[in-house]
Amino acid sequence: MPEAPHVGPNTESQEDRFLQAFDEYNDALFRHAFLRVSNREKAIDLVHDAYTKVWSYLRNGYEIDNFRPFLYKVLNNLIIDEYRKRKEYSLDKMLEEEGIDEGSFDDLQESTVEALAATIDGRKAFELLDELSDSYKEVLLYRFVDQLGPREISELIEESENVVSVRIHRGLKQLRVLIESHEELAEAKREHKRNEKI
Amino acid sequence: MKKFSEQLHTKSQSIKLQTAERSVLRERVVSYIEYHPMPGSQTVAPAGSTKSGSFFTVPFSYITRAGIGVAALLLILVPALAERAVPGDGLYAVKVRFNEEVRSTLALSPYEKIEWETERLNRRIAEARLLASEGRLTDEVEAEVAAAVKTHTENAKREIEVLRGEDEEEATLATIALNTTLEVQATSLKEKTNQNNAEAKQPALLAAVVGEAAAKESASQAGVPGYERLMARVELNTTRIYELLETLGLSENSEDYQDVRRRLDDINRTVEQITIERETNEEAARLALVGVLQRTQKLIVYLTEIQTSQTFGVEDFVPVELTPEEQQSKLDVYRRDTQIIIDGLEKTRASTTDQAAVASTAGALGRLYDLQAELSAATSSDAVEATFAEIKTIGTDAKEILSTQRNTDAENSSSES
Repeated sequence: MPEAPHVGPNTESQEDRFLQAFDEYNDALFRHAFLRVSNREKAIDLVHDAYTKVWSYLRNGYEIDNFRPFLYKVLNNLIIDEYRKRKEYSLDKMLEEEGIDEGSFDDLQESTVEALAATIDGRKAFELLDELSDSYKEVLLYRFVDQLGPREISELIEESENVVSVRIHRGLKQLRVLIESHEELAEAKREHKRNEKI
Repeated sequence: MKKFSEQLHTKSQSIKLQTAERSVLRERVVSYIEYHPMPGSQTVAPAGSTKSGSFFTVPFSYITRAGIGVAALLLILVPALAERAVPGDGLYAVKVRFNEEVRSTLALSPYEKIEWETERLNRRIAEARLLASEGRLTDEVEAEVAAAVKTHTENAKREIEVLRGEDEEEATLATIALNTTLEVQATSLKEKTNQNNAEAKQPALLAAVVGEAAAKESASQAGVPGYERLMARVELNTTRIYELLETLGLSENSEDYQDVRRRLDDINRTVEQITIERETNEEAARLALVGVLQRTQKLIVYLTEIQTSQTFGVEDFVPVELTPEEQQSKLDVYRRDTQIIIDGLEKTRASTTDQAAVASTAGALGRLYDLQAELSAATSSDAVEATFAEIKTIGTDAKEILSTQRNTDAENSSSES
């Protein structure tokens, strides 16, 4: 995480470290952005902007110990800005999401995240990620695609660990419902075809 | 949990930047940091370094750096910029007389020299086509391009003759490549000239020169190289196509990329069939491989062309080859459409009162039933296309006869009332 600005940073090593961070994380950041915005060109632009913003930050004399969480944080902010720019992301939807009752960790008593995840097919879940609302998709991507821990996620999205865990749990629940309803629909179609043949 | 997490993670790993995308992105980021350097990285001249008594002095390191900069500009930047130049541009001479001549010296083997002369020929024609499409092709420029095309063709032919003395088969392969290129360009230029576009000058002279060269060359083609040599050349050409695709940096979703990928799949499928055919008939397999080689050459011409002007249609020169599944589904569609045409005709005839019209379409209907049977029995793609084309024509004609009669009936009844 960033430290207080100081004068005369070691420019050569800053540049090397920055480019190293580019080589190391460009794919992961692009993957995350692409899965959030579902647009290849836009995702590339967002990754570019994240890197240039981080560079500007370094130029202002700040130092970054660990690039990974910092880059994710900047990228996340850019993605949120992007959502705001999109017309289809309606005010109603935003209000709806803001009004989500996050509940508490107690919700997780009856069925733990692990037990719930064990009942879901990860490949099918991946195909249906886009159908989730972004607040759930965001945490699930951080957790299972970027493989960040709840604590890191809570720092990134500026929510408590408890809220993160509840969102992961609810996101998984929604995914399971979505998979089930897709399977039911597919079965109904197959049944219809069978009947037609008869 | 572990299984879910692994499955989701593995699936997501398929999403990544393509090599071209990554290098462009890196370039963008690097140029950003170059234009926005760290404040501390600007070198400050040490105090007292300026000699007293002089108005100003330029440190030697600056001169060296400026010298390196100018040299880099002349040797890297200018030739790089010149690559995009077309006749009439200031840097065109650099492209033709420096860049291309330097590259000529790098082509060592006779085959490489022929390949390079062929590419230069392609480049000249592509430039002319680009200028024509922008309405900038003048008579002088066209004459220059035509002369250049002639020179490159002559050069290639001369090298082929040299090669023939050393390696007959390699010379034949080079001839196939040159002929295919000339044939593609001649056809394309002829079509372009035939298009009725009064606004821009069309390269008629160039079309004539290339057409003449193509006709002369196709007559000179002789013999079929050995199977192994042909297969090796096909592989080299496909590798070249992949390289060109990579250089172009096309998005995987773009139409051009998909078009080329589809043709490459077709080529791979044909090569597999040829490998099987070789076991029973080597002569036929060799001839079929020549066809594949020509297709790869046409794709190379196409990719060289889209680097410059994008005024070229791949379908005209390397049409899609349907897979057995696609052929079957196309046949199914044709069968269904034939049934629709027959049903429609039967229905219209049943509702028509004029017996003369009904009688005059009886023959057409009978022929349609025959063709329907022929369509089901057709074994080749050409036969399917020809049969269905006839079905459509007969169906349309018969429908027209009946509808004309209907209109006459309607007119008569309205005038009577």
